[in-house]
Amino acid sequence: MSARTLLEVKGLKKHYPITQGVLKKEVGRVRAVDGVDFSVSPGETLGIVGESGCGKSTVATSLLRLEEPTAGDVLFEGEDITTYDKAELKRFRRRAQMIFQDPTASFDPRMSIGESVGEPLLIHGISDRNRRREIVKDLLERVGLSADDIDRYPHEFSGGQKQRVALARALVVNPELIVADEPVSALDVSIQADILSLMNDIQAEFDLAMLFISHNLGVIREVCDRVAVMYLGEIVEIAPTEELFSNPQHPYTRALLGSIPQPDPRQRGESITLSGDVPSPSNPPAGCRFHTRCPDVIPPEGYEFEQRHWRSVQDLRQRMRKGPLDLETVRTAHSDAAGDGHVQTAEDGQSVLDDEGLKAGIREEFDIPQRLSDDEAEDVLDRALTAEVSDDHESGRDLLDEEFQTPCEQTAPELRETSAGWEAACLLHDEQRQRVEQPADD
Amino acid sequence: MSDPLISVKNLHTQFHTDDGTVRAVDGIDVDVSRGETVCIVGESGSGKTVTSESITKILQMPPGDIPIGEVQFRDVESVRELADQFPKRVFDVHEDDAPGTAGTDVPPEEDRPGDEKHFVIVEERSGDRISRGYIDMVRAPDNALRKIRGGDIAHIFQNPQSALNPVYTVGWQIVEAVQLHSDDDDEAARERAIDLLDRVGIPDAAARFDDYPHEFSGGMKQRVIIAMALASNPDVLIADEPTTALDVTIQAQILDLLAEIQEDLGMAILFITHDLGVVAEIADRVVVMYAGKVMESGEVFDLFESPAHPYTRALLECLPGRGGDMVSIGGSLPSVTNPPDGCRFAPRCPHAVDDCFTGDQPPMYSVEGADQEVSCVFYGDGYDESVVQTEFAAAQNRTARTDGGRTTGRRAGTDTDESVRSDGGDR
Repeated sequence: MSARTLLEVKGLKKHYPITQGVLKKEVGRVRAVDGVDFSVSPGETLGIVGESGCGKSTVATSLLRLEEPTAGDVLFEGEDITTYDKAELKRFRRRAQMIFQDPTASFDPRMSIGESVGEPLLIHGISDRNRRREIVKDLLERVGLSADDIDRYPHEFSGGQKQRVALARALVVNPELIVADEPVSALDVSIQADILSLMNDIQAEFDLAMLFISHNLGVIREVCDRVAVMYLGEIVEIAPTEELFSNPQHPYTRALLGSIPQPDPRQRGESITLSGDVPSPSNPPAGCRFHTRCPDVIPPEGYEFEQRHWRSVQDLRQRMRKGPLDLETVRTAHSDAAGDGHVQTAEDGQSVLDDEGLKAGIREEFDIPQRLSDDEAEDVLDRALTAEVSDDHESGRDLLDEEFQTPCEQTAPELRETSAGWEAACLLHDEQRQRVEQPADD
Repeated sequence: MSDPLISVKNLHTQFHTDDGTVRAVDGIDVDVSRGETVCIVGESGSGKTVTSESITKILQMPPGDIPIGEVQFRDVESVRELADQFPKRVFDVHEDDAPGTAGTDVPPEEDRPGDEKHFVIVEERSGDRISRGYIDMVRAPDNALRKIRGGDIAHIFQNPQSALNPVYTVGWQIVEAVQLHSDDDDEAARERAIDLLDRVGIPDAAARFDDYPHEFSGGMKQRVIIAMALASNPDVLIADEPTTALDVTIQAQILDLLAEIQEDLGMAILFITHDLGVVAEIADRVVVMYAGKVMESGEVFDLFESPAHPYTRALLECLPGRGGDMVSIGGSLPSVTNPPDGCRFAPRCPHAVDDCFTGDQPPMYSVEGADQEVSCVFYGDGYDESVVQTEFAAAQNRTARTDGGRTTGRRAGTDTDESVRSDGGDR
């Protein structure tokens, strides 16, 4: 690995407009990638990991300009490729190649693999057919196939073999950068190991820079030198692989690592389970984008919460911002929480929960204890719930909004160096740093 | 109640194709008891999904066919119910002159009571009531199976998107499932559906009742599917790769949910997966399948602590991201139309000796000191089992060297998938 940087990405953004009507008026935009920065050196593998929909594949396609990025610079050996014209772009593409997830879909079933692998050579100006065949044969052997395979067709190969052919096709123009988008996720584990070690060997042999995109942290750990963790279009942490796995700094990285099931039944149940789904990238949460699911979300000053309960209260608050609670569900599914004292028999003979019972049911639905440890917080919560069950949703919502704000939604954290020595974007680290810088503050 | 709830015995499932008969499942035994989670684990093409689909016979027949084998479903209530409904097809093992046995030209199969048309097997009666017996799912006709499918035995599939009908609301689809197996009126079914949706962790269940499947995320859709499966209070839940299409964080949520539901309802779960991490997370017992055969089965702690079969070891060692060196098994699955003699794994096994290549798949030997059974000759008489209880990778290197050494730079096994090509290509 050299100190020279081959690829540098600065503030890359890719937004997809959401349009409406015949005039295609833009009514919103999906912020698939929303300002990412990273760099890759020759011989280095940078991994990008994240859940589906976090924008990792869009990073790949927009940095190669397969899709035009909305904003940002992509410097390849110091030159900004976002300003390239068509001819320059073609020349650039000889130096950067891509491998895709589905090896079956990435080959034309009517072309022999010799033609498929040789096609980039033809495009980049090697018109001598025999020379092309020589190069292709040599490459097929390097990726673990036989030179005689050159006239076979894609359907004659297994998935793992096709991925080898895909690798050969990427290597045929002698690139300096390979972008691999989930290259092994369509393969069985026993084949994955083959392809990953092949990629490692090839990279060492050709001194390639590699951008490796995967949702599988195990695979990332196997091949990458550094890892960038993405969440909703942003990088939340970027670190050397082993360090990231042993000492993750961002709560999202911790949760992601914690939710991989370990092949050891003794570690059962030790996973961190995140609540909820990934929010929509068309309307990402304000502040830190992870605060809607973060187990370590920072409580407001002045209240003492148990962290777990604070998370639950936040869930309730986020739910109430969307609209009045669905009291019918509470009535049908959580009537036991209230205890017998709160069930009354209505005139038509049906049993109905009274207001106190409903409040208890809501607490159960959101995993909030029937009494919070902090008296002031309990008072606020009780008032908000009272308002909610007496059809005064707005004042309940506003009360919670006013009292239970988290710093995480007000300030968007930036990628900053943490005490561990690499960058993460989390306010908890900013706080920590402030405490170190101003020790005499208290 | 020592009898398992579901007992698969010597199951053979085949598909007749133009290229010959594909023996997808070739004689396997699996037992699942109440309250227990059994995981079937294997690579693609090992026959794990076909096994699960053979239990309720939801596979296409033809081309599918179950020539040999028995699937016993021991739920006394269902046995009583079906015995009333199909009196002529009941076989009582204690009545030697049971109606139907005499005068048929099909001789009863060995060890199997009754003949082809008997599918309700009664083993014990107390007074007039049946107290022990089972339903043979393989012989059961479709109209009997229809009661059991979705009612007593529910399925969850891998892709939640294709398991839901896009043109009906999710509430409607759950109500349909509820009413199919109960006499609930619309109002009661709706309440039950909302209760189920809430039970599986859909927030604001009543409000989401009238939403369409596309308004739910992948994880939420899988929760809806689970709610549908629970609609009839099934005794058995068969889950075929239910978390494979989901992100890890959502997968963790769904696994938690399944464990919780099982604790509440005491169901038996048969869980099909290729992911050993998931197995370690939820299984009580594990069945490792390879090329239509069971390689090893056992209690989850024993199996992960001391994998007995070389294939199980290899599977564990080739998981990426364990920190150590990655192992590749090398070679590929044997041909399913014309499987090799002897142990199916022998061609890829570094320990293989001559006995491994002759005869049939070795019988299931029990492993000393552990709740485990393994199909490997090294556990039989005259062999030392400690030979195969070493690291797969180390054994591989040893064999590679005795082979005269392979070129470095490529690991053993990169010159692999040759056999796939020779038998006609892509699986």
